[in-house]
Amino acid sequence: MTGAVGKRPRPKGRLVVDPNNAYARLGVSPLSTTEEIKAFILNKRSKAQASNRSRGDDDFGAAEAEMTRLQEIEEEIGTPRARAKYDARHPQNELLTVQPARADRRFELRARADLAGAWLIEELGANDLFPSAESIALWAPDIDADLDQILKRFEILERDARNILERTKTLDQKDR
Amino acid sequence: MAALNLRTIDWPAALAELRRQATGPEGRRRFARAASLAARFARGFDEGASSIAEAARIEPLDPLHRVRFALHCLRFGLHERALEALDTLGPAKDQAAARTVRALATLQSGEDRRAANIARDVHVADPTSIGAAFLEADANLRPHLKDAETRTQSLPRDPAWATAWTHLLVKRIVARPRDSAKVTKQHLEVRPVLTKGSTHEELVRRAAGWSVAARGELASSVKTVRAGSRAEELVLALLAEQLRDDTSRMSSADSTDNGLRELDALYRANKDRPAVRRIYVATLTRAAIEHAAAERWNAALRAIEVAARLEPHEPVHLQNRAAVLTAMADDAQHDAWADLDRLHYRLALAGCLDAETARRIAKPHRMFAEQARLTPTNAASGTGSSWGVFSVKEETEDGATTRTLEVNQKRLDDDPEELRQFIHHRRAELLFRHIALGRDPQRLLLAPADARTQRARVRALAISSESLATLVPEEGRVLADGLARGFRALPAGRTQYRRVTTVDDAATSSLKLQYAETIADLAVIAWTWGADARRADIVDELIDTVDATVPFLEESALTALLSPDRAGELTNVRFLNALIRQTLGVKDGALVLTDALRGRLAARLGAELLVTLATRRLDASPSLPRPEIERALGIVDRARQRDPDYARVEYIAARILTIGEFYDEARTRVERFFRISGGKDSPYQQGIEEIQRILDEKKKANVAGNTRGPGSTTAGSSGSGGSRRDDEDALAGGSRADRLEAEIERFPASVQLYEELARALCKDGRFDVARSWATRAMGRCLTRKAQLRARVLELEVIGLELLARKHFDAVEVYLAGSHGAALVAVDATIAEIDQGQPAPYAPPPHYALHYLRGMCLLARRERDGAEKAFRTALEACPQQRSRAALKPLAENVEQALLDQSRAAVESALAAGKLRDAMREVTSAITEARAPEACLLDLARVQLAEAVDAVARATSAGGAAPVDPAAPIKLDGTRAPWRERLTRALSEATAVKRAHAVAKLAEELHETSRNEAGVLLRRIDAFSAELGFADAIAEATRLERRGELMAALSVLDGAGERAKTDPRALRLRIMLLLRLDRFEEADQSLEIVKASGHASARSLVDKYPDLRFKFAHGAATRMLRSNDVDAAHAILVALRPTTPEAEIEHGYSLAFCLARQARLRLDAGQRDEAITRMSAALEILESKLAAPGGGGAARSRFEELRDRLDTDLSHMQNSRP
Repeated sequence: MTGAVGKRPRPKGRLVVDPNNAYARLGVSPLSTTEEIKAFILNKRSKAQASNRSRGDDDFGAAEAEMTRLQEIEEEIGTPRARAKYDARHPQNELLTVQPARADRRFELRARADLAGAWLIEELGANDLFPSAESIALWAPDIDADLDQILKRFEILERDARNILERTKTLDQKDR
Repeated sequence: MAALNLRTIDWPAALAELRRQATGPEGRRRFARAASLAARFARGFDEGASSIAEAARIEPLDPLHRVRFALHCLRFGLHERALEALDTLGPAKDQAAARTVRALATLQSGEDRRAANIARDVHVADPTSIGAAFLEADANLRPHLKDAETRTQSLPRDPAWATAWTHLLVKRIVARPRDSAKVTKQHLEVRPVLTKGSTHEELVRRAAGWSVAARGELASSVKTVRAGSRAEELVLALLAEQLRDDTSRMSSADSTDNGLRELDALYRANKDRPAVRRIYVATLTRAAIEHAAAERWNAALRAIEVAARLEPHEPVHLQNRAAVLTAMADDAQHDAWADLDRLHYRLALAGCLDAETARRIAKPHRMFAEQARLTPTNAASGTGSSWGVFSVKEETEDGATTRTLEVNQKRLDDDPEELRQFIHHRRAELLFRHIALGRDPQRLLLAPADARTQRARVRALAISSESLATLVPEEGRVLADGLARGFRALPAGRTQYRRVTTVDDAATSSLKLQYAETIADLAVIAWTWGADARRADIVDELIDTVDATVPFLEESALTALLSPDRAGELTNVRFLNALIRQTLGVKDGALVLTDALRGRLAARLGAELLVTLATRRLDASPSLPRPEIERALGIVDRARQRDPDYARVEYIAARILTIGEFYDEARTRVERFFRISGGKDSPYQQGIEEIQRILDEKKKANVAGNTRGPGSTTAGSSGSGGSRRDDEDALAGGSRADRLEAEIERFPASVQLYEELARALCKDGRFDVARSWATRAMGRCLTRKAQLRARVLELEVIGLELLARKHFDAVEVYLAGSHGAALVAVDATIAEIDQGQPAPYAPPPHYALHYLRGMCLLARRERDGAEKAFRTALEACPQQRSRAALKPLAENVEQALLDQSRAAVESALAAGKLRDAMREVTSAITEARAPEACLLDLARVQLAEAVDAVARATSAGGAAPVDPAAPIKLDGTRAPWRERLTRALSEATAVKRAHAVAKLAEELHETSRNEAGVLLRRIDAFSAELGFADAIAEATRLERRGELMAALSVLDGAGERAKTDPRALRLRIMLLLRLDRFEEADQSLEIVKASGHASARSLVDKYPDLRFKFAHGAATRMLRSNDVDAAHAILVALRPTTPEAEIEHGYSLAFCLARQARLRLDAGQRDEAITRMSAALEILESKLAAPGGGGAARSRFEELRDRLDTDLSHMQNSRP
C-alpha cells in the first residue's frame, strides 16, 4: 500500500500556476483592483486602436488580434462578477502571489483616505452627515418623534447623571 | 430640547422595551426601525446583521432595513453583499437614499468613476441631496481631480457642513500630499469653508502638516500622538509612503535595506506601540513582494521569515512563505502549506472564526481541491491536463469540438493521493464556506425544507469536519470535534422551516453550485473510476464525501449549471443529471429533490463505489482464494446495506458467489436481481442469464456448493429470504409443473426452467399450456443462445403435439431422452401427413415434425439425414422466428452435434464418470467434420481427471496413479494438427495435458478462443494451487524431519502466495520460532492478524504462549552453552503469559543474572557482579514473597536463593 491512510494527503504533483492565466496575459498582478485592471485594459485598447490607425499593410490584423485578446481578458477578469468567478476557478493566481496582510492595506495610498476618515471620526464623532457608511446621519436622517421620546429614556449619560443626582439627594437627607 | 445622541443609547434595553410595546402595527413598525438602527451600534457584524434581519422579518416591505443592511455591510468592508442587498430592493432601489448607499458601495469596490457618476445622478435628480454632492467630489479625488475641484466650488459652505468639508479636505491632502499647501490656502484662507480656530480647521491643518513633514519629523511625531489611535496610524502611513518613494527613486536593494533599518530602529524604540510594529512588518512584506517579483526568492524568504517572527499570529506571512517555497519548487512547500492550515485552525480554536476569517481559511483548501481536480497546464513544470483527478477529453464532430471531463485513471493508479487531496480539501473548503455564511441556522444549513433535511445536513457537516483532522492531525481534530458539536447543537426548534422565496445571495448561491459540481464530480468518479484494490480506505473516504455533500444538493443549482450560458464549462453536471433521472426514475420534467431522494442518490453512489471495489479486488487476485472471495462478498454486503434496491449489487454478488461456488446464495441473489429489475431489460441481463445458466447446470448436476459462515451478512435479502422460504413451503406439496412455475417466477430468465416445464406439460398432454410457456420464454430470455433455445423449444412442443395425436407413447419415449427410438413414429406421422390425410393434421405445421425427425436422426448420429430433415423443416416453415432457429441447423448440423456431445460430456463429468466423458469426447472428435471444435471438451475432461487425481491422492494420503491418456486416431485431412494433439496427450500429468489441449483449442478454434482462455486461467490457477500445496507438503515434511532451514527455504521459494496464505504463514511462524528468529516470527504474525483469516485465529490466540515457550527454551539452551549475555537479552524482553510461566521466567532470569555476576567477578568487575547478584536475589525474594510463593517450585527457589545469598556474602566480604 502506498500513501498514509488517514494522514494529510501528499500527492507527487506540485502546485502550479497556469502561465497563460488572464492576469499574466494582461501583465497585471492578481492583487490589482478590478478598477486598475479595467484602466489597464482601456489603456491597452487605446494603444491598439492608435496602432490600428497608423498601421502599414504588413501588420494587417495585428491590432484586431490584440483587441480580440483584450476583449477575452476583459470577459474573464474585467468586471467584479466575472473576476470573482474566474478567481474561484483559479484560486492559485492570488494565493501563490506574495502579498501584504489585510491590515497592511490600510497603509496603502488608496486606503489612506479611509484611514484619514477613521481618524476624523475619532476626533469629530460620526453624528454629522458625511460620505461614509459610518455617518450616523446617513443611517437615521430623521427619527420619529415618538421613537425619539422612547430612546431618550435609554440615554446612558442622562440616566447616569440622574442616578448621581438622586444618590446625592439621599446622602444629603442622611446628613441632615 | 437637546438633540438625541444615538451613540449614548443603551440599545439592548431600549430594544427590549420597544419589543414589549410592539403589540400593534405602529408599535411593530417603531420596533423594526429601532432594531435596524441599533445595528449601527452593534458589537460585531453578526449581531448587527441579526438585528436588521429581525427588523426585516417584521416589516419586510420597508426598504429602509435593506438600505441599513447595505450600510452595515459597508462598515465591515462587504461591498458585494451590500450591492446584493440593494439589488433586491425592487422599485425602491431608485430612491435617493438607496442610490447614495449604492454609490458608497461602488466606491468601496474600487470603481471610483462609476461611484462618482451615481452620486452625480442622485444630486441632479434631487438637488437637496448635499451628501451625494460631497460623495461625488470624494469619488472623483483620484480618477478626476479636476472634476472634484469643480464640484467643490458648488458645495455649500455653511458651518452645518463643516464635518463633510473636513473629511473632503483631509482626504484630498492625504491622497496628494504635495497639494496640501494649495488646499489649505484655497479652502482655509482665500475662500474659507471652515470657521477659523475651529476644531475642524485645526484638524485640516494638522493633516497638512504631517503630509509635508520630513521623515525625521514624522518619526518624532509618532511620540506625540496617542498610542493605538488612528492618528498614529496615519502618521506611520505617511512615513511608510515616504520610505517607499525614496526606495522607488533610488531603485536598489540597498535603499530598501536602509528603509527597513530605519523602521527597525523605530520599532526598537517604540516596542510598546503595535502600530509601529505593523508598519515595519508591512514594509518587510512589501520588500518581500518586490524581491519575489524579481524572482529573488531567497531574499523574499528572509524578509518573510522576519515578518513571521514579529507577527506569528498573522497567517499571510505563512501563506507568503508557502507561496515562495512553491515558486522555488522546494519540497518544504508541503509542510509550509500544512503550517498555514495549522495556524488558521489555531486561530479558529482561539475564537477567531468570523465570516471573513472563514472565507480566508477556505481559500487554500479550495486551491488544493481545484489543483487536484484539474491541474493547470504548465509546460515549464511539466504539468498538464493529465495531472489531475480528471483530464479533458476533446471530441470533434461535424467540425464542432466538445470538451468533457473524464476520470484520469492512469494518474490515479500512479498516485491515489491526488484523489485524497481533492476529497479532503474540498470538504474543508465547503465546511468553512458554510461557516462564512454566519450563525443563522437557516442560512448556515442552506435553508433546509424540513427537520429531516436539517438532520441530514448537520450530519453532513459533521462528516466534512473530519477532513480537518486528516489535514492537520492535532489542531484539526480538536477543531473538527468542536465544530461537529456546534453543528449538532444547532437548535432544530429554533430553525424555522419555511419555503424560501427570496433569491439567494452570491455566497449562498455559489456554495450551492459548488455542491452540485462536487456531487457531479463524485458521481463520475463513482461510475467510472477503477478503484485501487489496495486502497479501500480511499473508497471509504469517497463514500463519506458523498454523504457529506449530497444532502446539500438542490435542484435550482443543478438547473443553473445546466443552463445554456454555462455550456462551455468543464463540469460533470450533465452526467449527474442523467444519473439522477435514471436512479430516481424521473424521466422528464422538472426535478424536485426531497431528502429521501437525495438519500437514494447517495446510497446509489456509495453502492457503486463498493461493488467496483469488490470486483477490482477479485480482478487483482489471480488465484481467487476463498478468503479473498469472502472479503469481496463482505464489501458487496456493505453495498447492499447502503442500497438494497440496486440490481447491479445483486448481479455482482451473484457473480462472485458463483465464482466462489456458493450456489444456493447465488440463486437467492439472482432471484433478488429479478425482483429489483422487475423483468425490465437491464445492462446486466446477459451476464445474469449466463450466471443463471451456470447455476442451472450445477443444479442439474446436483452440485451442492459452499455455504458462507454465520457471520456473513445477507442484509437486504430479508424480504426475499422470507418470501423464498414461503415459496419453498408452498412448493413442497405441488406437482412438478407447479414447482417449476414457481421457480420461473423467481428466475424468469432461466431458459432451462422453461424447457423443463414445457416438457413436463407435454408429458401430461397439456400441449397448449406448454406452447404458451415456450412463447413466454422467447419474451423473457433475451440472450442470443437463450432465444435460440426458446424458439427450438416452441418447435419441439408443436412437433410433439402433432406426434401425440396418434403416437403418444413416442412422445414419452422422446421426452425420456431416447430421441432415436422415436424416429419410427415420427416418420409414420410425417408419412400420414404427406399422404394427404385430412384432419386432425390440417392445417399441417409439419415442419415441426421434420424438426423432430432431424433431432431423432442426430441422436443416431446420421448427420446427413438430420441435415436434410432440418432443411425440409426450414423450407416448409412459414414462421420467421422458427426459421431463425432452424436455419443454423439446416446449414450446419455440426454445431447441434457438438452441443449434444458437450451435453453428454458435461453430464458424465457431473456424475463423476470420467471414462464415459472421455469416451464421448473421443467419439465426437473422431466423427466431427471440424474436430478442433471438440478440443475444448477434451481439455475439460483432462482437467477433471487432474482434479480427481488430487482428490484421490488426498483421501489415500499419497500420490494417486493417473492413467495415461489414450491416443486419439484422427484423419490427417480434417486434422492436420493431429501430431500436436498426440504430443499434448502424451504429457506426463493430467494438468499438463489439459493445459496443452486447451492451448491447442485456443489456437485452432476461433469460437472456442474465449472459453479456452478462461479454461487456461483456471488450469493455471489449479496448477499454481497444486504447486503451492506441494510446497507446503514438502516444507511440513522437512519440518517433521527437523530440517528447519530447508523447510524455510522451500516456503521462500513458494512465491508471493506463501507470504499471505495462512497455512504457509502458520508453518513459517513455527519454523522461525524453532530457529530462534523471534522478531521475524512476530512480523509474520502481524500479517496473519491483519489478514483476518478465521483459520489463523487459533494461532493468534496461542502465539503468546508459543512465543514464550520457544524463547524461554532458547534462553535455557544459551545458558547451558554459556552464552549468558544473549540469554539475558532474550529473558529481559520476554513477557510471561501464565502464572506458571511467570515463575519459570523469574527463576531463569535470576539464574542468568547470577551467572553474569560470577562471570563479572572473574573478570575483576566486583561492583557490577554484586549489582547483578543483588538483582537476582531481589527477583527470587519477590517471587517467594508473592501469594503462592513460587508454587510447586518453592523449594527450588529457596535453594537457589540460599546459594546466591552465600555467593553474595562472599563477594561483599572479599571486597578489598
